[in-house]
Amino acid sequence: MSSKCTEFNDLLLELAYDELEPSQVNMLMAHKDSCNECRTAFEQIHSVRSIAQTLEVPEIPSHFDKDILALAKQTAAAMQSTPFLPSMYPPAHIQKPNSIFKRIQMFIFRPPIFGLGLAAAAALIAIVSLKQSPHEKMLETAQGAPFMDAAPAVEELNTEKPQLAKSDTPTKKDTNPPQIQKAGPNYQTSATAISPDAPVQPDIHEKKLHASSSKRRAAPNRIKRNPDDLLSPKASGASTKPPAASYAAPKQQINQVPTEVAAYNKAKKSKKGSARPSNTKKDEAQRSYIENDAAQEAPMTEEAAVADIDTVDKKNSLFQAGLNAYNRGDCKTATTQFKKMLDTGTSPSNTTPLATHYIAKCEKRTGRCGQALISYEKILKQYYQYSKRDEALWEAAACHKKLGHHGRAIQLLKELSLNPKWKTKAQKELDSIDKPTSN
Amino acid sequence: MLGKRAPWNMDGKTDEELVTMFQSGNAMAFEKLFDKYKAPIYIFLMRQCGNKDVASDLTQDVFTKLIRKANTFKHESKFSTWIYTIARNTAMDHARKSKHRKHSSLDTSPTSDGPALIEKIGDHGPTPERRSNAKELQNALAQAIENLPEDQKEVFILREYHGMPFGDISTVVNAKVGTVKSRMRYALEFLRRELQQYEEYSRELS
Repeated sequence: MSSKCTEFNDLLLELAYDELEPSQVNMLMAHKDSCNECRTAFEQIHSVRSIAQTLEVPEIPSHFDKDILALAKQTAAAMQSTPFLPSMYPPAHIQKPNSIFKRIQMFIFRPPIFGLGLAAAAALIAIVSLKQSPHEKMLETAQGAPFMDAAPAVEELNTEKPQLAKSDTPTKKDTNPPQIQKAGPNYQTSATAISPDAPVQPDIHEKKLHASSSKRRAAPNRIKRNPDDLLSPKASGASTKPPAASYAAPKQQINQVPTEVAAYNKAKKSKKGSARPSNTKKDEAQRSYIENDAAQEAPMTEEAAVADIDTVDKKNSLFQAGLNAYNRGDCKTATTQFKKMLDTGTSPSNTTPLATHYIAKCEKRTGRCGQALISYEKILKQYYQYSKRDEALWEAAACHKKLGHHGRAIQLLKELSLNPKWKTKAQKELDSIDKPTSN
Repeated sequence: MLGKRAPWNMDGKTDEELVTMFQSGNAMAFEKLFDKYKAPIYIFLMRQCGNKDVASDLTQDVFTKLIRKANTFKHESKFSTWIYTIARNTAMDHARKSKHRKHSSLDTSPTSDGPALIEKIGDHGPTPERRSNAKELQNALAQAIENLPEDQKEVFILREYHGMPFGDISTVVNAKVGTVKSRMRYALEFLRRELQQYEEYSRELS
């Protein structure tokens, strides 16, 4: 083969595998016809390919279909519940723009990013409104807070200058309902909430207020206010800094509202009287977290709200009792408490997978691997995004190994080995388990 | 809802579109991909490692990894390249782990239900009668492919049996296209030398 022909080496290969561009095919064919070496080289490639094509196609086993497809369904379900994550990247058919600004714009307005932004904004608004809940707004308005435009009110709040003298004197806007519209969407919402046409319920805001009560208790300078006390004229000193949102409510509509709130509080107090007082910060945080979570549900009746608070409290106290027993090493009591907690109420709470995990741990500690596996498998199948899933995988694999279910143990360890943190440990364990001879 | 989409709605979808659907939580889309790729991936791994049971286990591993890492697919490359890259890496990991057993692979059966390759070929050269025997040619070919250096073997298998263009192979094996073509040429040359005695038979085939 001449030095010139070596240039055709790659082209001959491409020609043999039909990858050559049409424009080059004719040129190469012409050369091949005139060059013996290239012709021979091409024939040799062709000859090897003819032999290579005689290789039998192996039979495909189908036994792994079931496992893989089950895993795919499980993962798909998990991905469906977190729709923001998968579409972080644009599909292949969307071309990336050349301009850097357009790329940034494309990135920001991509559904997950935009969605997260909206969610963050909503959360911020919720926190701000929680800080000044309608309950408080109503009560402060009841003491004679005046009406004024939103803009000066916001200005007052920003500068933190007391405007008591100004606010003591009701203005014309008192009797001028259309002025409310100037206050913006937040204020309209407040006005709707306390409108006489729409009766006020002690709904989610009330629960949020309860959830944040621990914070208020922690602040010594703030006055602990009881709605009933605040209704009395003596309590007028509590509001030196008029909140903007309170200006939206007509004064004469307020009187009937706190009565219902007070009734609700009374009912709640009577229920809370028997409840375990929460002493630690952890308890408070846990309670407020769970209650906040529950507060996102639809508004409920007074009885339902009381019952709900009762259930959450009960679940919390059972969980705490179970945890204490577990820490003491009293597995039997811990299991009973956790099981009671799981049986309380119908909806699963944030601590449900953790309680199930503790039950499994207790069973494992007491040497009942079979029972432990029921809980472990429940965690693995139902709580795919459980934060301690890897730990559960490891412990479940150990139980399966102990019971001689090597196949399932290997399966779990393989899943675990995909996590870099557990890879070495899982691999070591995998090596120690004898592989079953057949699948 | 994507999750409730009927399978017939997925006809004509590209692999990349199916991955996007799976990323959105559609398990049926994955089923389509699985049906399409399980055989090629199994065959690829079977030819890479030469053992039926191991290939089966590795295929399972490949799809498990695929499910777990589906969210990391950024649509920057073809799905086929991605899955073959996973398969190749899985096979390499396995080979690395069982390196010490590699040398004795000819003594053991490549399939659990048949005799070892060396037994099938025997230590004697092919007779004129045997040359016409297609089965013997297949055995010799399987032996020759197994004797190829790893880097040439994977390129040869991907190009010859999986129809993957050289450009895509370069992505899978993480090498330049020129290097891939060079490996392919060496592989073809090696196989030609090994299977020289079957040239006549190959002419009959073509």
